[in-house]
Amino acid sequence: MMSLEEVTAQETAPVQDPPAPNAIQASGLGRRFGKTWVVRSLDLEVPEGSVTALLGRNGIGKSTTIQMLLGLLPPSEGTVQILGQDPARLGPKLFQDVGYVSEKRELLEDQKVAGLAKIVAEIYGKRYDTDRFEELRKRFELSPSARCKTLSKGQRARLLLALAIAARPRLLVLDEPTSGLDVVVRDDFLSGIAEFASEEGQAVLLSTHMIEDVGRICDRGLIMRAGRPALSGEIEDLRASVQRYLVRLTGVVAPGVRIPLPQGAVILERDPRALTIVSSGAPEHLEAALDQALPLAGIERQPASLKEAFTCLSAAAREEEA
Amino acid sequence: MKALLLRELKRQGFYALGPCAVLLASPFLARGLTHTKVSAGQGPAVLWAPEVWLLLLAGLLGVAAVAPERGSGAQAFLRRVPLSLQRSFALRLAAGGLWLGLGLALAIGALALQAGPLRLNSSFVLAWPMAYAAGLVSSTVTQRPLAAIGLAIPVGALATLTYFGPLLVTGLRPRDGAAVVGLLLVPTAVTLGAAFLAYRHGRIHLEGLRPFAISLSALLGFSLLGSGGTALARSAHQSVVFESLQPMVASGRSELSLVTLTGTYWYGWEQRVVVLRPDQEPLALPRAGARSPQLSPDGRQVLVRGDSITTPGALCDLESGEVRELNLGYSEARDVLWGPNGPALVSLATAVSLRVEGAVEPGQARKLLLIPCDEIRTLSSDDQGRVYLLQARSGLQRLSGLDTVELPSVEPGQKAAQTSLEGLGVEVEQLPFPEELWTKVRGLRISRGGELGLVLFARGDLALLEIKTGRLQRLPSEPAKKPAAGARSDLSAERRISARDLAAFVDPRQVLGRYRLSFGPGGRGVVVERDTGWTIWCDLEQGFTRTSLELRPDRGLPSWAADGHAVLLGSGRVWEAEQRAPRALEARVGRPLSWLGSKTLVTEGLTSGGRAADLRSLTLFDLDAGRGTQPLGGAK
Repeated sequence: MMSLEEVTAQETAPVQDPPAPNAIQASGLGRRFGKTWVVRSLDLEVPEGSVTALLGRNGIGKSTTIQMLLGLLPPSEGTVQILGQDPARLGPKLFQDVGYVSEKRELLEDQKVAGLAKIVAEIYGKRYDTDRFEELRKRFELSPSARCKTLSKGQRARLLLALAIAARPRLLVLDEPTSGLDVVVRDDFLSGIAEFASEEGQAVLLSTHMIEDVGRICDRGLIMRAGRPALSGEIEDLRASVQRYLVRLTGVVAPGVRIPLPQGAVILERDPRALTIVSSGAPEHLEAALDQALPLAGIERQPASLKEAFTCLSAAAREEEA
Repeated sequence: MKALLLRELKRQGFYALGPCAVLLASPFLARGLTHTKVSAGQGPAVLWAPEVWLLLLAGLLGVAAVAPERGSGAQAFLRRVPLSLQRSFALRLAAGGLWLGLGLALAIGALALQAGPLRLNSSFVLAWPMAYAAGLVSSTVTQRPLAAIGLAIPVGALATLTYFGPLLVTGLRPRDGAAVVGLLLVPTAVTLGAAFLAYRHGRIHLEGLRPFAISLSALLGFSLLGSGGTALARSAHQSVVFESLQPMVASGRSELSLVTLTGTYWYGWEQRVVVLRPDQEPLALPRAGARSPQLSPDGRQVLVRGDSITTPGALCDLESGEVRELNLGYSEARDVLWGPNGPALVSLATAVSLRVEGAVEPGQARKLLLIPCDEIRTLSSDDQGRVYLLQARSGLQRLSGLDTVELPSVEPGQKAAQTSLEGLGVEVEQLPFPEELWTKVRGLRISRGGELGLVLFARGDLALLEIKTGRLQRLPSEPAKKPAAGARSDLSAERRISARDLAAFVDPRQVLGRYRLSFGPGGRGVVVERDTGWTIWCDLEQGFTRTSLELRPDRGLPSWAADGHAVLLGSGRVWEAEQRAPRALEARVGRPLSWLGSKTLVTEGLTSGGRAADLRSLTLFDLDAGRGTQPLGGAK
């Protein structure tokens, strides 16, 4: 895995605290379907007590990665340790300590909410916190008599989260949990995750492409890039590794003209007389490249948003590929 | 796991309730059909509807076990909680088992109400687990119940192949006693195993063909293992031969005896015909799978019946040892017999017609005559082969005059018209038999009784039908009490019972049982042995009977000496006709097989275990000396 320091000119202060033990530790992880590698050489760490975002564009292999991490799909290469153990060996016992909300949000469709909770409680035994489930159920406005097959996407996500949290896991893995949810439901959902994460030692791995969610609750991020090493680090470091540049021009640049950019720079907006560029590279490199190709009137440097940083970091990988 | 089990019960109940309701209602809906005649000779109709519904129930429950759960995402949900796959599989099976138990109870009740006292048969007991297992595999490898239903039948067929495969590969026949059990239990166990493997290792929480590949590999693997193992066992144990289950057939001159020996292997058995010759080594006919040897009228050839799956039989030349497969031109031809003229053979087709074939040249068959008739079950002929009796669906028919008719050729695929029989001089006579009796007769068999005619087994009871007169006579199946020694029981005219009255004497409770019988030469006497040990010796010339209780009568078939002076009982004792009493022997004979000449018995050792030594222990037992004198070599 390429560290953030290696791809950005922006130096950030190294973390001085002793590293927390990892809830998830994967190295060289890869999965191949036929001859196609969906995920390859992925290194991933989720420290205990952290909320880590697993980021990447659609189809990049986030769900496959999660399934490999949880032992639901054997990796073609690499090793995984969840809470210090091999998930393939643990089998279903893994889920004593790991809660998982999948992207498809499967339930026992024939059951009512209360009935499903009873079944789950029976499976988990004493570990299951019925009061906590009831508290979350009421907060998430889930009727105990509602049948699972009648629940909306948001209700299903909330029910799964409530069931997962009530089992008191040490690690919560969420695969695109907020996709398709409206703003209010999403807020509820994220606050539920945040509350869970606030408890000592509990880790969350959140796979999403909703950057706003990441900014709200995640403290670490891992960006998966097609065919390239993933980037990982503190969310703030990731954001700070990218700068936004507002470039004003003295003349007009025709729309079809190709503008040469240094590695790690992406054009966000393009007008005939102005450009908005995000770049993870050194500013002088960008200025030099633009000065040679365009009639520059001036360059203004601004902090990039997290969304812009994500766009830059993931898009940069594509450019490098090209 | 109570809540999960209850959920499973409720979920699978959706599939089970329909068939269970039908099973519950079937006795009331179909009670009036209890005595519907399915066909003449088949006895009271056995209504199989409950069994069919039970099979359907089992198959549906198998289908319901996994596929709906995969399709709905429930399997994926349960894979993400700390519930082991073994436990969830067991829960699904337990719920299915409870519903099946209910269905089984309802089916048994329905059958009892419909057909009276329930006679459990192996298919009833074992077929539904097979249906469940096939449904379960299909359910595990698909995500849609409808697809699973469609797949269940080929899966069941493939699973059955795990047992049939080895038999087809090796040419063995399934063991009688274990055949049905093996045919159903082995594939059932294999199929359940395949389902579990697919469930456990197929990652059925995901989409994909992995479960299908696993279960298919398991089924094919078991099949190949069985085939290979059986082939291996067969090659390694060629000398393991062991019981003689078929009666010996002695030639008319008592110079030769034919015996079918059975070799037992892992999956089944192999039969070979051995020719015993006085003062010579036994000759084992090279053709495996042969059975029911029949010596040709000229004594030069042996006709053996083969595996009905592949060939109806073969002709073995005793001098050269050459074996010639019979090609009768019909795949369904079976039960070949010697015809009246030696080389002509009569074969019995299974379904619609009696075909008279001429095996003229090696490997060729010439169709001579096709006699349209309804379903044929048994065929027999008199000693000279001039009169044939066949048991057809419509009753007993007698065909005569076959030997005097010049039979024209019939082109392949053509059937001769019924009217052509008259022109050909073949007499077809419907023999008298009360229709009401036929409806109560089950498993009727015909045994040839020399000049006397045929003995009919009417649901275990015995009746004697004289071919020449068509008269029917009931034989005493079991005496009410043991007659005093020397008492005579007249079976002549005044004891004869007309066909019309025969039905009154058939009491299934009294006559159920298995009989072995043998007619003496010239029809002088008949010995009837029941599996209970009661043995009846009827002197049909002088009209008396004598009974005794024999120990282990099932060790062999009664066999008369060629001159009729004595009969060798299945128990190993010898009755002498003149003395009308068992003969005292110095040594007890072993397993009795047959006579070789008038004073020599062929016996077999009684050592258990079915080893090659048993075969080698065939001995000639000198009746006068009262002991075995000449051991015979073994046949491999």
